[in-house]
Amino acid sequence: MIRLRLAVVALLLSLLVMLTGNTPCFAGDTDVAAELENLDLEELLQVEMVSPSERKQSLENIAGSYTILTAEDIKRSGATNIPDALRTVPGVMVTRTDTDKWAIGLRGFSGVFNSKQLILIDNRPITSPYFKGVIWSNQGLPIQLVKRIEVIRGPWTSLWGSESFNGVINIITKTSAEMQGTQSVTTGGTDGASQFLRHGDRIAENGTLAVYAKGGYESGKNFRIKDHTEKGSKNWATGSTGFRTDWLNAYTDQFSFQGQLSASSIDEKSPPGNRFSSNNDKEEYSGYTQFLWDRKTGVNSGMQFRTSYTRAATTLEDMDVISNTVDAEFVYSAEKLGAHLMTFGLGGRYFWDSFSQGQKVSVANDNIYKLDFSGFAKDKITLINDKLFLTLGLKLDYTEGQNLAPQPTARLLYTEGTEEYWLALSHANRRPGNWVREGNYKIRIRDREYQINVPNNLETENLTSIEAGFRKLFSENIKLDLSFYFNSYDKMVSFELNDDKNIATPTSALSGLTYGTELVLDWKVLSWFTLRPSVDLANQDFSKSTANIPGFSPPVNSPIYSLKLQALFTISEEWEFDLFSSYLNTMDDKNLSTGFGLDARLAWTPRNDLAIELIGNNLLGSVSDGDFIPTEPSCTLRLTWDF
Amino acid sequence: MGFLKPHKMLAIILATLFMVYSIPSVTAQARLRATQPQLQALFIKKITKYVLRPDERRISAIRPVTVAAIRPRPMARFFNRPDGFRLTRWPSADCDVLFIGNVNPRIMAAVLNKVKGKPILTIGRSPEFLKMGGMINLVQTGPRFKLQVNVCAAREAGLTISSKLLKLSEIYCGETPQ
Repeated sequence: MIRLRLAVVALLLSLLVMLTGNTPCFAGDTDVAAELENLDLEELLQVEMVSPSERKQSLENIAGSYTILTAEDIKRSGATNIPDALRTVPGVMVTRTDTDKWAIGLRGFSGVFNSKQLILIDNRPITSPYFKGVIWSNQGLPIQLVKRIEVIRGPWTSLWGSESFNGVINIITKTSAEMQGTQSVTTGGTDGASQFLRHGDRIAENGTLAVYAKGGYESGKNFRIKDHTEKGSKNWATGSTGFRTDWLNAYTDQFSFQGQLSASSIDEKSPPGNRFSSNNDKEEYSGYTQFLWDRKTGVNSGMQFRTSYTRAATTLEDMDVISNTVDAEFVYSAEKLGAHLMTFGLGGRYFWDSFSQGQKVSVANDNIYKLDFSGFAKDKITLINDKLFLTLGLKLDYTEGQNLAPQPTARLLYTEGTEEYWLALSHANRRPGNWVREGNYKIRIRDREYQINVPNNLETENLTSIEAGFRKLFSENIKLDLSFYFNSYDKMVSFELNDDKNIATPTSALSGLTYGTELVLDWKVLSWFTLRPSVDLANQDFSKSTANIPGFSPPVNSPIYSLKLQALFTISEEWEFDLFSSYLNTMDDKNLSTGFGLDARLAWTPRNDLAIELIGNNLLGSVSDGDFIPTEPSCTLRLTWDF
Repeated sequence: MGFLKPHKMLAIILATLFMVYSIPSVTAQARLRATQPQLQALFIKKITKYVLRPDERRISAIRPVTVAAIRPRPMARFFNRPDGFRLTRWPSADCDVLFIGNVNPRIMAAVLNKVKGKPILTIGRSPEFLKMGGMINLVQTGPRFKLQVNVCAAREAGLTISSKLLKLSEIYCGETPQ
């Protein structure tokens, strides 16, 4: 026992020496700093840089809670699709509920439909205006195109409108200039196989073009639900092809034109917990095209015009939907005028959907046409130079036939050296989507089936939110990000159940509080070892609600804790080994434990143009009982070849 | 059993590790090293000694030399001493030196347009910097910086680059090597 203790002490000592031995002595060492100051220019050219990357360890001057995933972060997470990449982000709950379906929740309210955050690809909303949710099975965006994912937690309706009720997820893709050359990414494993091909070239002195195509097949996932193995939908085949061209003019203007067509088919028979399974062969397609003009006139000033057209064909159980959306927006950021940095925006969206009504699922009208307008203004006021900033913002959303919905916010940011403190107060309104107001279908609640009764007068959902946060760079290698939020929700859509007639009527009756905190650490322990632990504590208290059943994306109504840990090992220039583990459970006796999730990635880069990765997901496999739906373990080999 | 028992092997490995990591790294102390923002700040200060303003004075002779940067915070701590330099955030009406760093190239172009023809020394850290009319580019080659000077841009702004600085730099006119 004594020997064991000695060994433990020795181990701790060694770790201590290793850690302190790698702490940069140059930065705080006044002698070294003075010596550096006295060097002449020729000698300065011989001084070596340490930690040349400034990527992670920077503060961003944002009075809000956010996480940015870079292409490198996404690669090292081992994610093969976009929802999987989001699992590493604190405050984000991602549940794969079927082979082709994901429910994503930001700070609670996770649901396939009626999720309460806005999701965009290159600023084009992919959240369906009719269903108010993202139909992931019909997106088809290859993850290899993604340059960055910005996850912004909390209500940002003052900037992005009512759909960004609980936050915004903006997926930014690479420009064609960043996709030059040819790349092939092949994956194969226990889930299925896929092939991605991309080619980019210069088409003019300042113009570039990239084209890509991806095809994939997944045999279908199995799910563990309440200790039973349930089969998910099978034979998911996907294909997409697209292009992007970018042109620079006078160095300050960028014109981009991009588009994509996607199609998928699946033998749909969803496991329990999913609504609207067709229990049949299902085929879907989607396509979009987008034009962007972006001019920079200064560091924070410029103007941007974006317009897009999106078309998608989707099947919900036995109802087919073809939806079309045209949108346009113009944003102008003025030069700083005294203490004021003003930004204005105007936007419009027109969408029209046509429905082939089903026997089981139908909506009130065969066709729907709708026009939305919005405008926003934001003023970032410098109260103390380089230290204290107040941002006031207001967005007005107008939907045909309804009143203007004001979305105000006030945000305060204080920066001092390597620290940032922020405080935000926001009020958000969200009109329940057409689907909630016009849908006609059956739902299953507590093993009983109810027919939805089309509601008469649903009110606008309200959210008043207070947020605060603190960020600090402790050194070149450690960054801490802490945020708190207190959200008060009112008039949220819920169901009023009539057990005699088996009728469920959507009603604006759900009120309650959500509060919590997110703590994130980004710690480069050693030059070859990075740790990213995060803790997310949240409590949803809707117990005083008058409605007898929560609605489309029900609150858990329990205090929840979620732990996430990423460990990244750069073993050598050729080898990387990465781990991601997560755990979620309630702090009361409900026990909604997801079990420990463990993903691993081993990457070998024998040449600059070739990478071979072995990726394992859900490796711990066995999970405890619960209402959450983890999938079975899987293993994938990914080969990336640039030529 | 065996040559060494597991706990002894562990102790030897740990002792070796302890010794290896406890030995002061002679090479690390012999070579001076700096973080990227620190080295940028040092270069900015030094370079001002080798650039003459239209009135034939060195930029470093001005007291204080106002250095504007698009992102000043990473370098702020290295300008926090009484050595005749003042770091401020761009836009700044009265700066002598503008450090642009590695920002979005289109932002870089917009900012360079604003100072075009003015006697403000522009220093950047981007492959496109000289092409867009920047004057001195810090190029990272391995762990070190090397210098590229756009003599034409400096001349247009009425600044003169000293022969010593030119000797240590790669010389360009726009993006054309001279």
